[in-house]
Amino acid sequence: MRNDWKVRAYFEHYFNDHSMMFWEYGWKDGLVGLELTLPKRMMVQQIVFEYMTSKDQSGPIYNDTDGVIPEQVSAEDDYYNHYIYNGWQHWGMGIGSPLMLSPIYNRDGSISFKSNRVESYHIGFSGILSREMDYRILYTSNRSWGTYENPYPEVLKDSYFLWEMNYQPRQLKGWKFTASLGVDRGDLAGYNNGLLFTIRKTGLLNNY
Amino acid sequence: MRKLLITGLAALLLVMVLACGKIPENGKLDGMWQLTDIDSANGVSISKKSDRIYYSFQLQVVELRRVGYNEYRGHFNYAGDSLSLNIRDYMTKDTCAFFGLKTMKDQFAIEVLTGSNMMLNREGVRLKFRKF
Repeated sequence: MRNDWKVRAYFEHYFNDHSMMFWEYGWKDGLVGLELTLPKRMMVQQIVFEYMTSKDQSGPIYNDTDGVIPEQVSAEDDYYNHYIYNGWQHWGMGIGSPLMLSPIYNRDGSISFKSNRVESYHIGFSGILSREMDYRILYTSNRSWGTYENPYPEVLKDSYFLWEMNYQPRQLKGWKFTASLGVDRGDLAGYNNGLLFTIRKTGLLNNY
Repeated sequence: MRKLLITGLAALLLVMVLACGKIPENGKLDGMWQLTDIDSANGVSISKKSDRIYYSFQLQVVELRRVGYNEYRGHFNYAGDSLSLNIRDYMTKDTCAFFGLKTMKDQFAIEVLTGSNMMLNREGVRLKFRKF
């Protein structure tokens, strides 16, 4: 393979407690990614594909051993939730995966993660259109089952899309202009469109 | 560096092998199932989706849950083409019927079991599930 090509594969193992950290209940949840970097000066420069699942969570049952059912089953991990502390958030915004919808979007005012069992596919492209212009396109498809404790009656589906264009004029060194279009469609995120314009200057302002 | 990497990977593999004491052992049955329909022996079908009834299977433990209500745990025996349930938490006769059971000890033939669907049959009464 030539030096200007690059392939990178990665895996993130998700765990919420000791048993999952050491694969006691098997190896099911996590994120698998594949990143491909193509030769420079191509319209598509980088491609990334990711698959993520948090559906298993060690399994669906939590049972403390007793005289009736002696088996200790320490599953139903309930990612990001805790019966006392809700630490995986800051002012309602989740600080982990954005695919588990943040509590700030809960319509009933509760501060728990209502959907931590999700399965997602993500694909992204970026490339260079000219010496002054590049782009990035991201698309994510997500399915949500709720939690083991409170599963949804139906599987909820969402799609997220981002298209970003960057313009760096050669005459204006250090300046970068960005236009981004974000689109959400689905059962959890609703129907949202957003536009973002950014003007960025790197270096010293007093040079101009 | 290479030696360190190999040692690290070997240690990781050893931890994984030694730790896997409770890995899923019931094949496609393991996990949570949503009860979607109950078809009676005379062909009448009742939709159960809105009742939000879920059966969960893990190791030797079964749990029946209606969201927002009590949960009932017990043991099960899975023998490939048959499934017997032995619920240990007390269920009234009406509760059993609501969950599709005849009694707290019940036995079914497994007609369908895939990664996404399951159909149980007890004397012509069919319980239909989807993986959830």
